[in-house]
Amino acid sequence: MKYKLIIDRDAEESVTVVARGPSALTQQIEDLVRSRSGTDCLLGYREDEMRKLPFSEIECITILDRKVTAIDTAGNHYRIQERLRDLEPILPAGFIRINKSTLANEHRILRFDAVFSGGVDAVFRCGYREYVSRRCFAEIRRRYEGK
Amino acid sequence: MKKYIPEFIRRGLIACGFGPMVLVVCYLTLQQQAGVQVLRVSQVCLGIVSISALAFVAGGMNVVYQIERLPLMAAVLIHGGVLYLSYLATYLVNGWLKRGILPLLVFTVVFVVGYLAAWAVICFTTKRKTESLNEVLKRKQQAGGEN
Repeated sequence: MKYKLIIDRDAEESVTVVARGPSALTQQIEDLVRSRSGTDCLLGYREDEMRKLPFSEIECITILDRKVTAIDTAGNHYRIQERLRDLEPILPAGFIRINKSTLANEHRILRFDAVFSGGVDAVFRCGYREYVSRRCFAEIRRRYEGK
Repeated sequence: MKKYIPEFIRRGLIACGFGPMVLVVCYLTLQQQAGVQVLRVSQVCLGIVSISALAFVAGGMNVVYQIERLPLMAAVLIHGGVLYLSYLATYLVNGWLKRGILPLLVFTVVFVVGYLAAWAVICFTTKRKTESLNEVLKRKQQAGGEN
């Protein structure tokens, strides 16, 4: 892999990575850039509490009772003000869509479970389960296994 | 759910065009196997209408596989249940299945065995796919370092 630094005092600062696929290194670079630019977290609301939720502490973002909700590593639910479709482009590449209304942090998925009904559930480290739609399951398989 | 009703009708209308072609196969089979040489006008009309209706339902019911939230097995069961009732009604209306416990039982057993086989195949396939995906997920998380 080559390293290239371009010094241009007039240009907007940006980091561009050309890689054959997402890897641990690209993830680390993305996390570093996001933390430096202050875009590595979301604001979550719970009762009277407002908290900065770093992306790495979010298990998944889903819609519960018609509200966009982030579930953190302790299983706490936080209401998010942004809409799910607005969040998708700003979340790191490690967030994958597992159904029409859920974005999952792939680093926090413990396993995928085949359920008796023929469907698939994603089980998160905090114990939360969410169904994986057939379309998204096929997409995840393509992403992971190249199928 | 409302958006699936027009889709059901659209798919049904496309499929019901093939109804009379299926009826041709049924009549030719009856001629070859049961020696049926003459059909009354009312029999032909009933055949065309009932097979077109069956084709409409069978074609339209494929829409259940488009409902993302519905697990595959649930979709198969709904599809299978509706097809069972539709086929049974069509066979009985046209007199292709004798009325009585035994013919009904044979028909039902053949249908149920077919669907159990489909169920087993789907469960086995889904389990195999999730196991393989879990292995890739585990490797990916180990390589990237868990958060």
